[in-house]
Amino acid sequence: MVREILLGDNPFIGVSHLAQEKAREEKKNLPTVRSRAAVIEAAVEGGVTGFTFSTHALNYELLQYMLDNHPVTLQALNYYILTPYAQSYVRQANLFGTAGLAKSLLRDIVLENPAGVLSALFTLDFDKIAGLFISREARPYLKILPKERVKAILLHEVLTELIIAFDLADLLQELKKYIETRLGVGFGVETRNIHRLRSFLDEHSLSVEYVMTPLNPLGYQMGVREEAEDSVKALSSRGAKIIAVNILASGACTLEESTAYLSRLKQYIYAVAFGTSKPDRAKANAQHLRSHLE
Amino acid sequence: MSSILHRDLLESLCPEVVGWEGYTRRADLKIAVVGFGKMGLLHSGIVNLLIPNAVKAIVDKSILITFGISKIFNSVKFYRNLDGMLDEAKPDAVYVTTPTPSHYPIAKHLLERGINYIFIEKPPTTDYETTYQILSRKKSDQHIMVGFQKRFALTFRHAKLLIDSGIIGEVVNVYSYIRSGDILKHTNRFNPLGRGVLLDLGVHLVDLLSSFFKIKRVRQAEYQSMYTRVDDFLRADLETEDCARVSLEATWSDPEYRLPETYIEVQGTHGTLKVTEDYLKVSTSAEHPLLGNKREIALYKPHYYQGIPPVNLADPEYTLENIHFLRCIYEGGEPLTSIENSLSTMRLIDEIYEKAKIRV
Repeated sequence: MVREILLGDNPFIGVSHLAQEKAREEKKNLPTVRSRAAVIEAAVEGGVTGFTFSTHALNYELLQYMLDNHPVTLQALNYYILTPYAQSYVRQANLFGTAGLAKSLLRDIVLENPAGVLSALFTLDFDKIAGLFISREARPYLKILPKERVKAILLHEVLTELIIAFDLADLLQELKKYIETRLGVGFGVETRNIHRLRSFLDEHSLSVEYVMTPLNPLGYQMGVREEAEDSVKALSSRGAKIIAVNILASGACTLEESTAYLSRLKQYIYAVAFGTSKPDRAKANAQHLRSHLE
Repeated sequence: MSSILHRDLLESLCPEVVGWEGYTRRADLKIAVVGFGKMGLLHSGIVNLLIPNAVKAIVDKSILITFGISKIFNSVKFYRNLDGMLDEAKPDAVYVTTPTPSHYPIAKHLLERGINYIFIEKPPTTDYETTYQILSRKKSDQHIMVGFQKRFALTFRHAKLLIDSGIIGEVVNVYSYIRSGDILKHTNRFNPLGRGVLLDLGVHLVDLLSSFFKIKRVRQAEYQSMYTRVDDFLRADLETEDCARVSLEATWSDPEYRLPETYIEVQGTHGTLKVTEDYLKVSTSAEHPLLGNKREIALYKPHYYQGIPPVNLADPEYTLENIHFLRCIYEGGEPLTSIENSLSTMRLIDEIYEKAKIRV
């Protein structure tokens, strides 16, 4: 049974996985902070129980606005924070080179937490620096949001896929430990390779509380669909909470097609996320998803 | 799924995925990567997702990477010296993902050391002459693939199929651009190269146009510098052998483009075709079987990439490109974007720069 319907942030920050052209059009008419707050309010009316978002400056602005103007709604929602916001780092790497980006990041982390970096260097525990990096990204949001409502910090897919690709079990463990114990929040990963994630976790006898992954009738961004579905079932059976994203295949299928597909898997799915910039649609979609999946 | 994109068509657009698991079952394959920046990380990540632990060695001159990162990446051995890596790791294939000016000396060295499969990130070198120099040093059993990954995007492959099939009639006019918002602050990174956006980003568009059309000459070209001393914006007019006009623009300084986008609009005697990495739109004067007996189609990425590629890291064309390279290693074939096939692209790049009269 799906326990939560979440609102996603892509339309709020001008991201479209269908086409850049669409994203640019949307960005020109990017909703104001007040309109974004109205979408959240409408979504909550429709039954949305949580907000999943990237650590993008526009989301910080939105949550600060919610704190000031809609504190009751802010208190009522659960939060799933996706970090880091990878695209901003890609741009910096293009400007300064990857080594330049790494130096600048390290400098910022040292300035913010010199003791933590020194300890990592003395013990040659470089995985610890990754924890400090994630903490640096998430901390501003953790200051705004009610602590008990932040359900998880999830690693952005680029980071997850690299952890799987390079078999970085120690790094994943360190990040999990840091987020769960130091930040006191649930830990999760976002992936477009859930089948590979499952093998990786099995091989190292690891577990994660949340797994966010695309699930849609077209198999878009899912790898081989049957393998992805098998892995959703297997991971869910072992206690991982599966959060389905990109359920509309970036707009290539309808909400009805998507719910028909997700219904087959609903006993394995913990939460379903969708995005929109329109209050009416936010409410209607939330109601539709609740009535078919909960 | 859109009715025209049936399995047979998808497989013909993307032969790499047919039996892809066969190419990636070589447990003994040893891959090395020279240059562990953004592209080195991307390619090695994809290769390892396809064949777990295939990447055995990484060479990088940065101490931060060879010392710091190597403490985290335990499954790979890091080197600061290329020969040291070649002697010890004995790789079957090497990816060269260093900054462009170093491609030539590294590729030359790898050829001399007898590496048979080399992948060079785009652009292969800074100009036609050095690209040719690499080619001339290559033995017949050595293969070099260039990272022109746009050629592996299914939208572009489908577009080429439709243009070649004459769906829009004879090509009359082409408008195209490649734009990104990567360089919006002053940087000196590209000045020593003497070439800017056309070589770094525009080379993809030039490569696609060269594969779509027979370009005869460069009519005119002009450029602008905004954040560097090289071309941040470049516009050129080309002409095909059939006298169609082709205009191209390349910029890395357009703030509206969060991600790079390549756009090609082809006007033919019977219709128009518009294609980007994200979609293909065709409008013709008559119904056609290749359009599902319609006059118009609009297909987006989710229509093409259904269960394809088998693993995902960044845009799907990168994975398809890497599967293609692995297939060449497995079967011993010539890559689609071989250094031989890249010569015409690099010649055209030189001609456009010559016409634009860039002086740094």
